[in-house]
Amino acid sequence: MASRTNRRTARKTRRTGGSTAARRRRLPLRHLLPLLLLLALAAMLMLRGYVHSEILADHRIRPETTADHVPEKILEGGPVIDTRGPKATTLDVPDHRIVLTFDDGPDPTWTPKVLDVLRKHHAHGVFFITGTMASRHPDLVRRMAAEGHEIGLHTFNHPDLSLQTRKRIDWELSQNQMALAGAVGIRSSLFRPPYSSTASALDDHTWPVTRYVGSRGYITVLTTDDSEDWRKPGVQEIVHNSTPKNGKGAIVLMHDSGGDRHQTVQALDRLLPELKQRGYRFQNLTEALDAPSAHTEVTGPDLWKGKAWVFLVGASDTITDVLVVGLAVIGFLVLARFGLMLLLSGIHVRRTRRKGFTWGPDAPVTEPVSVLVPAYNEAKCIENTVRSLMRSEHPIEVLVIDDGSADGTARIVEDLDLPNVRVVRQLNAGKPAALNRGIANARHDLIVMMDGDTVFEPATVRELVQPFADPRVGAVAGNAKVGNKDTLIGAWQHIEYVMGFNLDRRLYDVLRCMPTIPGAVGAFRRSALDRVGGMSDDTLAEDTDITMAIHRDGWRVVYAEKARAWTEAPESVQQLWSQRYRWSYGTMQAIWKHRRALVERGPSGRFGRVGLPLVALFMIVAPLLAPLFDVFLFYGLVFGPTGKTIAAWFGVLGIQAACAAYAFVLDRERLTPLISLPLQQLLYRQLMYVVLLQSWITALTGGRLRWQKLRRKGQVAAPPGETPASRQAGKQAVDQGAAR
Amino acid sequence: MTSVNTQEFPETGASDATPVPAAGLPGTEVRDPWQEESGDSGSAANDPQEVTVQLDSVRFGDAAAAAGRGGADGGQDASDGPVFVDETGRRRIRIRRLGICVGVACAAYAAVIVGTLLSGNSDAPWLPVPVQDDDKPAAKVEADSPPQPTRTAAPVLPPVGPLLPGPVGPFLPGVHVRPSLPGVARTPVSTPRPSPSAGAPGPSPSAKPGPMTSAPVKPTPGVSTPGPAPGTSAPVLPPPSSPQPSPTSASPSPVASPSPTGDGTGTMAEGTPSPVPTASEATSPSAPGPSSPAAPSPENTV
Repeated sequence: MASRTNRRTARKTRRTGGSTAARRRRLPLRHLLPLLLLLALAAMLMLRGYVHSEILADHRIRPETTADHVPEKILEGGPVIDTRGPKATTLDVPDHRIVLTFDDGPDPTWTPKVLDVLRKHHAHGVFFITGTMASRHPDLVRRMAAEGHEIGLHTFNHPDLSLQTRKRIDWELSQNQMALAGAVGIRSSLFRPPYSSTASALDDHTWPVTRYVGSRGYITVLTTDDSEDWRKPGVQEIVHNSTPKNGKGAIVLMHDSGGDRHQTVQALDRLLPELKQRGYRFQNLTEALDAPSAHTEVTGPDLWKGKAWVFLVGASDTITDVLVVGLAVIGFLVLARFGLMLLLSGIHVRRTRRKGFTWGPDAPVTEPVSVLVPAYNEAKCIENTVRSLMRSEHPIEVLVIDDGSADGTARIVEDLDLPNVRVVRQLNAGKPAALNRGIANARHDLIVMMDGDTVFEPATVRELVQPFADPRVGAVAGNAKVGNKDTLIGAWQHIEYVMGFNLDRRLYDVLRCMPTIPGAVGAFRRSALDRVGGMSDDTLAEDTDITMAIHRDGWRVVYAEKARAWTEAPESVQQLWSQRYRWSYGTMQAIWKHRRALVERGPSGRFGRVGLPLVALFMIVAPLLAPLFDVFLFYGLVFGPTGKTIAAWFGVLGIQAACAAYAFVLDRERLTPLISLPLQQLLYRQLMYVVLLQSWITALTGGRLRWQKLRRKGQVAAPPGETPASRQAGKQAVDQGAAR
Repeated sequence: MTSVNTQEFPETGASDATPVPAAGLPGTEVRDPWQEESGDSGSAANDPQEVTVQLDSVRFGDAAAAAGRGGADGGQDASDGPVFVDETGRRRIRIRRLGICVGVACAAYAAVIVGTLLSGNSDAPWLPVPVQDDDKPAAKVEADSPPQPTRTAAPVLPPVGPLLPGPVGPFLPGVHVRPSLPGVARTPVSTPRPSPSAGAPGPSPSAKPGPMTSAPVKPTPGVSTPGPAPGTSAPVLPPPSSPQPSPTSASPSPVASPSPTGDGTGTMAEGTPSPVPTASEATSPSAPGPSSPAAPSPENTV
C-alpha cells in the first residue's frame, strides 16, 4: 500500500544530524561507521588468515639439484655457515657438545612438554621459530628465552626460500623478527632455512639463499644429525638418529610442532640422561661455540611495533572466536526454526484441515462484518479493492476512510455509488487514526481491516471471521499473498511471504504467540479492540502493536489459511527499502513497548515469556547475525578450505529450499518461483540486513522517521537537528484544535 | 463537546470527533451522528453534500485516559509518545560519540595492521663468533678463550644503532678497534686460536692484535648508511676493503646491544642504549687473557 507519509513533512529527509551541512551531504556516520567496521573486520580476517598460514603461504618445495656452484669447503664443512662476509666460512660444534634444535615452533601442545623435559635435565637448546606460531603464542617464546634457550629464525610462513624473491625473503625475515620482538623483546642473528638439512645437502638453489641471508647478517645453522622425528619412526630410532658418533659435536634436528610430537618428547627424556652420562653437554649454539648470545635486545619503535603486532594477532584470534560462536548460534537458530516449522506447521495443518473441524461452539459465523479500508492516495487501486469486496459471499458493510488523499480517492469511491459502501474523510493523520475512526463509525461487532491496495477473494471475509466461533478468539490473521510476482523482486517477496510469513504464522498459531496480523487482511472483535484501546500510533507497525496488545489481554489469535488476500508488493528497491524499514523499526518498537509482558502474570506473562522472546529471536537476533554466514563464506572462499565452505553454503541453501518447498506445498503454490531462491540468499538477505542495521541505528539514536507523526499535544517539539519542514496552516489549526 | 454537525468543513474549525460508543468505557457520552442521522446503512455516504470531515484523531486510549482508566484494560502500558523517539536529542549525541570512538578504533586497527605488515627490517644484529681453523675441523674454542660474558647480556657488538638511518655510526667500532675481534667473516685469519671468543667483548684483546685488526677495521663509512640501505645493496659482497659487510651492523637493528668492547665504545653508544655489557665489557678491554675471570661460563672449563 502506498506509504502513509504525511506529505507536509515528507520533504524533510531523515537525517542523522551531522555536525556540518557538508558532512551531511557526503557520508553520514550511520553509513560510515558500518563501513569502517566492515573494513576492520576484513583487515582482521586477513591478518588471521596470514597468521594461520592460510594466505600468502607457499607450500611448494623445490626438488634437489646439483651442487656445482657450492664451494667444496662448504659442502664438507660444518653445519654453521657464516656467509656474512665476502668469504664464507663454516664452523663446527666442538666435541662432546650437542646442540638440540627444534624447528617450526612454538606449538601450544608440545613445546611446553619439550621445555619441561629440557629443564628437567638442565639442558639448553635452540628453537627455530616461525613467525606465525610465535605471533600466536608469545608466552611460549618468552618461556624459551627465560629458560636459557636460544631462539633463531625460521621465516614467518615457512616457504621454500629458494622459490622466493629477495623481497619476499626480506619480508619473511623482518616479519619473523617483528614477531620475536613483540613476544620477547629481542632480535636474533641465527637463521635456519625451511626444508634444510645438512651442509652437504646444499645445492645450487639453496646456496644463493644462504648467501643472501648471510648478507643480511644472519648465521645459517644447519644440522649434522637429523632425528627424523617428523616421520614418527619410534622413540628408539629417534634416539639412535640423534646420537653422534665418536664423541663429536653435533647439531640435532628435531621438531616441537607440526603434528603429534610425543615421540620426540619421550626420545628426549631418554636421550638426555644417556648422553650426559657419556660426557656430552647439551648447550645452545652460542654456548657451544663460545660466542656471545645471539639475542639482541630491542628497544624503541621496533619494540612497540612488535608488541602492537602481537596484540593485534591476539585480538584477531579472540574476535574470530567470538564470531565463530555467533555463527554457531545463528546456525543453531536456522536449524531450530527449520525443525520447529516442520513440526508445528504439520500440527497446524492436520488440525485445521481434518474432517469435521470447526473453529468453535458458535460455528458457523454468519453475522455481518464491517470492512475497514483506510486509504491514502490509492486512486489506482481503490476501485479494484472495493469491487472485490462487493463480490464477497459474506454480508458486509464497507467503510473507506480517506486519510486526506490528494488524488481524489474518496471521490472515486463515492462515484462508484455502491450500496453498503460508506466514505469517511479525515485530514491526514496516519493509518492508526484512520482505523480508529473506522472502528468508531463501524456498525458491527466483527471488524475486518485491510489495505487500500489489497484485493479480496469472494470467500475471504467469510473465512476470515469463522474463527470467531470460538469466543476466546480475539483476532484472526489472514493469508496475504503477493499479487505481482512476475518481477524478480516480486518473486523474492512471494517466496518470503509464503515461507517466511505464512509458514511462520502456522508456527506461531500453534505456539499461541502470533506477533503480527497482516495489515492487508486481518479481523478483530470489537470488544477486544475496545479493551486494548484501539490502534495506537506509538509505533510504525500498528498491526504488530495491536496484535501484541490483544495477546496480552488474554485473547487468542489464530491463522485462517483459507482467507486469501492479494496485495501489491513494492516493485522498486526504494519502495521495498521503505516498507521493510518501517516494518523492522516498527517491530522493534512494538517489542520494546510491550516488554513489560516479560515479567507479568497470566496471559500477558505467557505471551511475554514465550512469544516475545521467540519474536525477538527470529525477527531481530537472527537477521542481525545472518551476515556471519556471509563473512565466513567469504573467509572460507578466500583463505580456508574452499571446497568445504562451498559445500556448507549449499547445505544451508538446501535447508532453506526444503523449508520453502514445504511451505509452498502446504499453501498449494506452484514451485517455479523457487528458482530464484539462491539469488535471494545472495542479494535479498543482505538488503534486509542493511535495513535492520539502519533501523537499529535509528532506534538507538532516537531520531524521528518521516512516517512518524507528532503527538497532538498542542506543543511542537522538534528534535535538534531534525527541523521538520514547515507545516501547513491546516495542521497547526488541527493541533490547536486538539489541544483543548 | 459541541454537538456534531456533519455539514461543517475543517476551515470553520468546528466539528468534533464522534467518540466511539465503546462499551465499558466510563465517561463517554457522545452520540454517534451516524446513528442519529440515518437508521440504516448506506444512504448517508452517497449524498455528495454530506462530506464528513472528522478532524481530530479518535483514540480510545486518549478518551480512556481522560476518563481516568485504571487497570481496566488489562494493564497496557501508557503510551507516552512514539517508541524510541528521543525528542531532546541527548541520546543521539551520546550514541554518536560512541559511534565515532568505535569508528576511530576500527580505522586505527586496520591502519596498524597494514603498517606493521608493510614496514620492517630484515637485518640481523652482528654476532661475533670465534673463528675456527679450516684445517682443524673440530672447533676448538678452548679454555683459552676468554669466557663469555653473561650470556643473557646483550651480546657484544651490536651493530648498529637504532633503526633509523642516521646515526649509525661506525658501528662496530668496537670491532675494528678491538683487535681481538675475530670477525669471522672477515678474514680468514685463522688464528689458530681462539681468538678468543670473539664475541666476548673484550676478551683478550691484547692477545691478538695484529691479524685481526686489519681486517675489520673500517668500515664504517660505508656501513653507516642507514640500515636498509646497506643491507639491500648487494648481499654478500661488499668490497673486501670495506669493512664489514654492511649488513650487519649497518642495519638498523635496533638492538641495544652493547657495546663494543672496549674502545670505540663511544661510537656505538649512539646507537644503543645498551647498558649492558656488563661487567665483561668493562673488564674486557683490560682483561688480558683468557683467564679473565669474567663471567666464565661453565663450559669454558674444559
